[in-house]
Amino acid sequence: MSGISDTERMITLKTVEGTLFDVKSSIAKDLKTVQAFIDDSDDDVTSPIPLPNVFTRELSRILDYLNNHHRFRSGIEKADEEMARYDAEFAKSMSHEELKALILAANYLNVKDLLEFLNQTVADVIQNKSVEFVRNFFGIENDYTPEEEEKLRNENEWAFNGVEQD
Amino acid sequence: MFVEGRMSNNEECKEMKRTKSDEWEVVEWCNLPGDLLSRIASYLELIDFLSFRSVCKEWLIPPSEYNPSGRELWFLLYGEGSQCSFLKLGSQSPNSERLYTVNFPELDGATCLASYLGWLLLVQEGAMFFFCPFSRAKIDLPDCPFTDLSEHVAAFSADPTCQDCVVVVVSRKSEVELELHLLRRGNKEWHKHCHRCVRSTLNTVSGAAFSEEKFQFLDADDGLVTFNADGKSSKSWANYRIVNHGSSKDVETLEYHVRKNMFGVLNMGQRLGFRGGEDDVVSISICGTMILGIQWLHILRNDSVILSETIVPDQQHVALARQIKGVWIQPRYVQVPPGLTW
Repeated sequence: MSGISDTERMITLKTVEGTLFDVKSSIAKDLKTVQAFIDDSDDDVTSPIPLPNVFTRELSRILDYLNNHHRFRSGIEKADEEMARYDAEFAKSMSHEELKALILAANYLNVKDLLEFLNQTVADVIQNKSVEFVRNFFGIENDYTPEEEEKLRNENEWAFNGVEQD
Repeated sequence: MFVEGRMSNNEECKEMKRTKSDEWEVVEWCNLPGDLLSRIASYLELIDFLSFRSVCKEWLIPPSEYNPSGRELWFLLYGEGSQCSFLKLGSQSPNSERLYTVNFPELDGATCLASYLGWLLLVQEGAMFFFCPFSRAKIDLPDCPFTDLSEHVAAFSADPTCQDCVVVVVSRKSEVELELHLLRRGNKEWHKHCHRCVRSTLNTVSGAAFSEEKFQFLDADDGLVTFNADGKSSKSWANYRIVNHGSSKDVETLEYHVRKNMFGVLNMGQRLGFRGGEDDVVSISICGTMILGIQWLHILRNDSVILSETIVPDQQHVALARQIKGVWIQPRYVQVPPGLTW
């Protein structure tokens, strides 16, 4: 389809469940994995691009994030505050299972800004918390033997004092 | 924006990985891909990184993959046996300042000559060594020719695990001469270099760093002397005066800021819990450092050399004062490959 500018071109993505999403090519650029696929294809990509590792819930969230951030960036001033508020809500709205699924999807699709934000969000949870808290929060089982764990703690025992148990 | 296509029946959402046999596999937090874990860990401060490694075996990230983007500033107070105070200065998040009490036998009776890249260069009973207090890594140096180090300042050019690390120790030998001792990694002997230099050019050396391929020595009066250790240039030494702003063509740009009196500026006495007054008189001998810029700390936002200084109490209290030592340091968790020697 000649005569149509890049920003108007639509890309169709297909999730694991088979749901189709029409995405503006300007948004698709932020999905670096998808963009690389498009760049590598010789013909114009018209058929839906299948994403074997991405589920509908995650793609929907990612596109929501990107659409909003594009809107904030291209709008008038004062968008920084709105964007910060959106980001905070976005992070809060997810359980940690959903957060994990989203990080994996964002990692697979290589969505740089979102991935940074999500990594920071996880780091914020871990910050100043005890090892036990982190395990409980993320549902991780301790697979160290008592001796191994003792050894690790002893290496830097001083560092484990004064950490919130909450 | 979202087109409704064929919807699947939303059963329990399992993450699917295309393995060779197309098996279903659930990805848990504990087995996130390694590079993702390293990236998450890089958002953590050192203390949290240490906790992170203890959560489960999969989260035991090799320290070499911990590349924090944020920067921290710590202060180590020592000099009274092996019991030390280790202060982590607070960053942007509230209440993140912490004072730890740590036992470092390596610091018992030791004096710190330099601090850089998370490593301290120490002298203890005639032996010289590198020590990283965060990981307790230690690298011994060959014989140290120095007996009295009260007037000496040192610097090193790179991480001591690097092949070509060079150590220099500098002092003012007389009113007209600076004396520099140099040790290259791999050589067992120190080499001596002298520089005719009067006090008006460089007073008592209170700072040493390595920047732009040269060693830099500073005093507290804007004097700067540089030394090129590669032995290739005909002129190893150069004298400078640090000015704010110069219009003449003889002005070069300094790649770092020089910070004096940081102990007072950052109100460290209070942070370290010194009560002040007659019953808590201290004299602190503080080793400076070269730090990489710290975004959240306005006065140290740029790469800076923090000058060494000595905090002395009032004249009348000098005799009673506790003699302690301090050093500024930025954390790194370095591990030394087994068998590494100098």
